[in-house]
Amino acid sequence: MSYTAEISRTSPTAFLFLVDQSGSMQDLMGNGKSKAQFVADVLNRTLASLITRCTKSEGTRDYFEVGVLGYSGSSVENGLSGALNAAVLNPISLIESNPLRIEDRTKRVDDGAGGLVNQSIKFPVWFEALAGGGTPMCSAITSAAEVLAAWCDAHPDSYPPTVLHVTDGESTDGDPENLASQLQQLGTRDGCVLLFNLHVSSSGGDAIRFPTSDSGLPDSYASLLFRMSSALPPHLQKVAEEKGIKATMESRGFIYNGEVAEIVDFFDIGTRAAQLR
Amino acid sequence: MEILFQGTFAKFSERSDENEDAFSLLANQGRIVVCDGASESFDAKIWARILADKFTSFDLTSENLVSCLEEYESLHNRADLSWSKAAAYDRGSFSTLIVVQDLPDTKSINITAIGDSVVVLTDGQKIIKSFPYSKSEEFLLAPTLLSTIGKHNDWLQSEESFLCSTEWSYRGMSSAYLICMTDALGAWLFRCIEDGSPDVLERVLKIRNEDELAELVTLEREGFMRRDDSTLIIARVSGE
Repeated sequence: MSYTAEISRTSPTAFLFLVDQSGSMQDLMGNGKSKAQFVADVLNRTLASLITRCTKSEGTRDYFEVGVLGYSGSSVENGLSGALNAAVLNPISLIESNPLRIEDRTKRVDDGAGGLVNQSIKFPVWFEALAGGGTPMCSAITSAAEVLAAWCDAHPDSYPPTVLHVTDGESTDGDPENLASQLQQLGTRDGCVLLFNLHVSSSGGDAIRFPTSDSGLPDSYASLLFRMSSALPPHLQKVAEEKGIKATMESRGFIYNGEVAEIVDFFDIGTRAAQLR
Repeated sequence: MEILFQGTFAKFSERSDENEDAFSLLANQGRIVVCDGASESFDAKIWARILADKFTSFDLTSENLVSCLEEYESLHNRADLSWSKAAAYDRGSFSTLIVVQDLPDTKSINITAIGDSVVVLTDGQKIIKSFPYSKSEEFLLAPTLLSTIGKHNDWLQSEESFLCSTEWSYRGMSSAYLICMTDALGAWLFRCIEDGSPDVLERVLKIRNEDELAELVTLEREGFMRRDDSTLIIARVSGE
């Protein structure tokens, strides 16, 4: 249980994003975007970043298999469309070649002389923001477990899958704690499935990042998400520390009341699997 | 300086064309250069090769590094790249660099090292000196590398850059060996010694062809040696 397996084309790892698309995700955040839209933007940027890590001059190497499950109303759907809709987890090269569209966006970059200049960038979009209905979290975790049980069987020596779950509300189809526990019991010889939870907020309250216990959490819902979260493996503790976030052996992969910066950090830290080979 | 062995073994033997290590030697001028291109790079193989070739004949200066960047850029046309390749190109390519220069007049060795490739001076029985690392745990650090993104190399203009060079005397040593290694081999060697296996130096110094290097690396990967491109140069100098 070391989370040290080499990640290579013959031994890839998997990232599965579980995204709450319930009605409350329409609420606006401090940056003027809805929670759903901002999460979609960060998720698309994270997918692009994963692809960039795997891309070399000759092409994109399949170090990762990636999937997105969106849940709302009473259903769980594949969050990716077109050629990516046939399976939940797809090789990263297939994701690279099948965005829904590529938008031209502008970002401000350092001009090398102390100022900022606009730079035109390509922004691929795979995942659209949606928000409506309830929060069938139990169904979503069950679907994730079905997909990852098969994946772990097929990749017994790989770095285990990481599930990044983003939600802003309580489950409307039952208590998800036991299901989350069962999901975390799946795994490979290198470790159990990692389940990290991000609670997205637009309340403006202080965020709680990677807590070591549930004693300081504000309510039973936050405590539930804490208990549903895996401990951060040492290399991810280190990534968190590099971002100035205190993390120890007891820290869980859980952020409560996360706003813009925390959402970005959560996706970045959660997708830093061990070194690629 | 006498070169006793020079060779490399790829992280995946069936994909030796993907080996991103590069080395270059001028034995009659006492010069050894080793570069280890980083896996998470757009074109580390080319970048490492450019650096190895350049610094075999030239010193590490800003001007010479800029010349390397220009050569790298001339080999890639960003405008023709797909969005993902352009993003990877913008992220950059990275490599370590070791430059060893024998100074026989003063019986000394000048070393420049950036990143986690290492040089060891040994009498064949024990490590006399090593640079830039001396413990296996140091290989767990994220090293600063030479980048194709020019601003990432700005630190070379700072005082920090003095930490990248050292000079060793081998005067009086009847048999002095220099072992230049990329990180997987270096980390393994240090850990073997820390674990009380001093004969590891003897095993390494006996290597005389790439089959023997492949045999050692393949065997040790079954243990704790990391799977990575592995380059080894062994040289002998005389201090008498």
